[in-house]
Amino acid sequence: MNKYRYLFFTAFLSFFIFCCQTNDKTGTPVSSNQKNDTATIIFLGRKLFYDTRLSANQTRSCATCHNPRFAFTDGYRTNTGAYGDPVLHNTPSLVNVSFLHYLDWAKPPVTSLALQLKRPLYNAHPVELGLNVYLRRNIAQLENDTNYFSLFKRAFADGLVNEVNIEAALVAFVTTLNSFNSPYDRFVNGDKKYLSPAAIEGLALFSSERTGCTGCHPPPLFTLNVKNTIPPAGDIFINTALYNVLNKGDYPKGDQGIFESTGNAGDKGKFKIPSLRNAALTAPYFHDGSAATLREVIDAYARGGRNITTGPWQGDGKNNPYKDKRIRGFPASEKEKRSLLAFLYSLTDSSVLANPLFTAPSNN
Amino acid sequence: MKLSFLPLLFFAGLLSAGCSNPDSSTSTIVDEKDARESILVTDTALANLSPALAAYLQKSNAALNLPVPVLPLAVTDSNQAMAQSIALADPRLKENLFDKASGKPFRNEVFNVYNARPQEIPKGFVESKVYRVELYNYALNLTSIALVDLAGKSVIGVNTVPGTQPEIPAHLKALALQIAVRSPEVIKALGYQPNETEALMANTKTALNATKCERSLHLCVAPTFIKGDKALWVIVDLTDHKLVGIRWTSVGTTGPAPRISERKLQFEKIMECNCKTVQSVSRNGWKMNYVITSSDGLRISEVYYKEKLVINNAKLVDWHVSYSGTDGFGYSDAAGCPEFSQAAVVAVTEPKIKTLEDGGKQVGFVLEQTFSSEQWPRPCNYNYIQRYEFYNDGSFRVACGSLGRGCGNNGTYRPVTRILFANNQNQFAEWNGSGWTNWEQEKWQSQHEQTAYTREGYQYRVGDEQNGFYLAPGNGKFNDGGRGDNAFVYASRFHADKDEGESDLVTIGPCCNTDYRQGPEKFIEPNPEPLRQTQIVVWYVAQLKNNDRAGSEYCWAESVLEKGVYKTKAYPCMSGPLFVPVKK
Repeated sequence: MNKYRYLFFTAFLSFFIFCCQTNDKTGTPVSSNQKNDTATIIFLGRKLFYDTRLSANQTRSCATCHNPRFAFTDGYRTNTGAYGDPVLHNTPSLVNVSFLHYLDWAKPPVTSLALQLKRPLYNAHPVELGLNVYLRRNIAQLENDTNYFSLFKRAFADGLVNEVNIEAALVAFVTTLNSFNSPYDRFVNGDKKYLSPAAIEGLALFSSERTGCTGCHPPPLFTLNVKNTIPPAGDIFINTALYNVLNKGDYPKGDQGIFESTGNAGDKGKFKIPSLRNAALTAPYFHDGSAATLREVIDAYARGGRNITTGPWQGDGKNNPYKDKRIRGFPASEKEKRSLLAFLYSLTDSSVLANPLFTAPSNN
Repeated sequence: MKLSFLPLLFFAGLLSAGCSNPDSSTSTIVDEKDARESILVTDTALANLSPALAAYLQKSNAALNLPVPVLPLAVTDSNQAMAQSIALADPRLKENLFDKASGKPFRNEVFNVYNARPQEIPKGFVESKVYRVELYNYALNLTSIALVDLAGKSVIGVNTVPGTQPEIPAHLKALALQIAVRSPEVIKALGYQPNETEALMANTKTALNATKCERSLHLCVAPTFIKGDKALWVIVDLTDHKLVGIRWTSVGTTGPAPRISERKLQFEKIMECNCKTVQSVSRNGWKMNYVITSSDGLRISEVYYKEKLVINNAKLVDWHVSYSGTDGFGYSDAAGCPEFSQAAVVAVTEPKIKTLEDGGKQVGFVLEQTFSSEQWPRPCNYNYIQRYEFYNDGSFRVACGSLGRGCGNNGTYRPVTRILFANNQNQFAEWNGSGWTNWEQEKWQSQHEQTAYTREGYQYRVGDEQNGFYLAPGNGKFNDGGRGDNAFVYASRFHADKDEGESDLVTIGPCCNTDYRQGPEKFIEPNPEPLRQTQIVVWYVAQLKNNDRAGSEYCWAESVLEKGVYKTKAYPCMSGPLFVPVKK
């Protein structure tokens, strides 16, 4: 990795993060007379993010699935919506999401946060938050809340409490959820004590030709799915050999990746490459949460594909005819696998968990 | 007189809220913490909903004006009445009745009065004359338990444990149900007003983040209603007498439960032989006593191996079952004797002793006990198993498992096990990758993907290089289908003069914390004691995530139609440490 390119990137990120904030330590806007006040919009978005009044039955908020304690995931294979209906995919982390290009596990057209968040807000099958189910009531609740009323007025030129501004505020807040303060980052920035010997060995292995991990997960975001490179969908949505149902190349029915929208057999099992940052906090793994631990993930890739021996999805992923050519397996000793694990753990930025700019604001 | 209209208007408002246009601006928010508009079931309103509730509230309020401000339990048995009266006269029980600063009374209530269990009764007292009186302080959220000797008309001892709650008595369960079925939120969510008899788990304690039920700071229960393949949790705060939230979980699909017709017939035998009587077993060099407790599962005690006392006792204190890491709701479950306990998942068979074999060779024996809800494997019913395994080489394992079904397919089970080791000159050490490091003080630690183990899989040692046991946590290598325990391990100092979990424990901790705060930490924090050369209690809390995905089922059960009849398929999740002698 080019150190200077990395430093420039980090500086750019820092500028982006801090340029428009005029907040106190808790993130509360200190004062602003401007309309479309960015700082206030961000604060408003943060407040809304944790507010269950955005849901149809007032029981769920964005934070129900995107909990800062789990690096803005939820710890489940898949969560349920406001009415208990299961959601199809594992909740992706929102940390650094503003730097990603593709945002849906299996829908390449979703490349903006504004588009992505419409699904949890408005989807009917299943209802996730269901903001629109009782939209007028939900809007009225916010309007009648003097705190929200004044925030919307300060934040937006039109001062309106409506779904357009709600979405804009949420997007603005989520865009600030950035983390580059892991032990790995500090190591790369020159402080060598931040990585253990095992993690250094793991980094070398991770970056090696033998494992080929950086072929899909290069630094600094540890995914190829980076906004400013606008990668082609074919590079980002890949079949990682997790399933090969009855050895026919299939994934579980109804969840076969971009095949569900394209209908092309070659698209079976193609899902988005996620970032590995904070992976130690975002278990379980893969698009369906079917791997409980990072060790399972490593074992599957080391093998060149996962082998399922029982149940309705039996089959050896290693032989999936549609698997990406980069999933070739690699030899690794027990010690080497533990080193890889140590390296992945070093990508954890624990400051995300309790950053006062990210967590639920107090009522002010 | 003006005031009397208010409850009626309020009541009318509640009814109309249930029938109103769904797009109206009527709020149905129930979370209190954010100070939003909420439908509070005020004392006055409650009174108009149910005369029985009104009577309870009147008595509860009146009790605050008594010299001993405790609402007694309504009992008909004269022994229970006497035990209660003796207990309430004891100064030790009166210590926490008033706020010391202002002198004002706290709200206290006697929850349970019953014959003490055999293992709780000190030597020299007549079993039938010793009673247990459980008192709950709502304000301080603490439980006081008095052991009363009717023969001597005196209190043998009082144990007060902060942050714990006794078993919910029947009248409070009824209160919770009445609040639940009359709530407009529940009626709206279900689409109809449910019958009280439909509710499951109505007296099982719960929590809910962002409310006063958070971390069980208030006394809260969750009557749960099944609708199709979902469960509606109705979280009721019994400290404030109100609904604090509703939540949905997905429970998956299953057929009806097979009939268990002999169930109730067995209860009498279990009670007589295994709850009221302590049994013994002597086999393969091992000797021990065992009994099924009220709510701490199957307890073993005075465990000897080749005439040497190994552990004083071991038991399963709680089952914490969490269905939401973010919202923090679930159940604090307990397993125990039928008839002793209202809320426990009860023993449905007598303990079984079976031979353990490996490769056709007899290697030890297991003492096994199952506990089951009546309608298992239907949703919101539970089946737990305890296994104490004893090996011919002196190793032993304290294991437990769940066979599901539970109230959601996103559940995490956290069984809390307590083991009191015999040696009073013990120490506790962890493997640091290259050697053993002693814990100088009481402490806890979690097991995770980067945990270091010896080559044999040991993580801890109770004792030293000459004497004691290595602890190998569950890592999926005990050939029981376990997938790893991810356990919290705590080591605390035993006190002969202080009950830190020795007697039958009420629920020790909240259901749904996702961190180390599962209950045992209250015997460690805030000032951990030295842990060298002392008798040690090891607490073990595994974390088992259930899974209903086809082919990956774990902590799960279902009723499936096979060859024309319903059969139960269970997918147990087993956990628990293996203790291996340092020197065999």
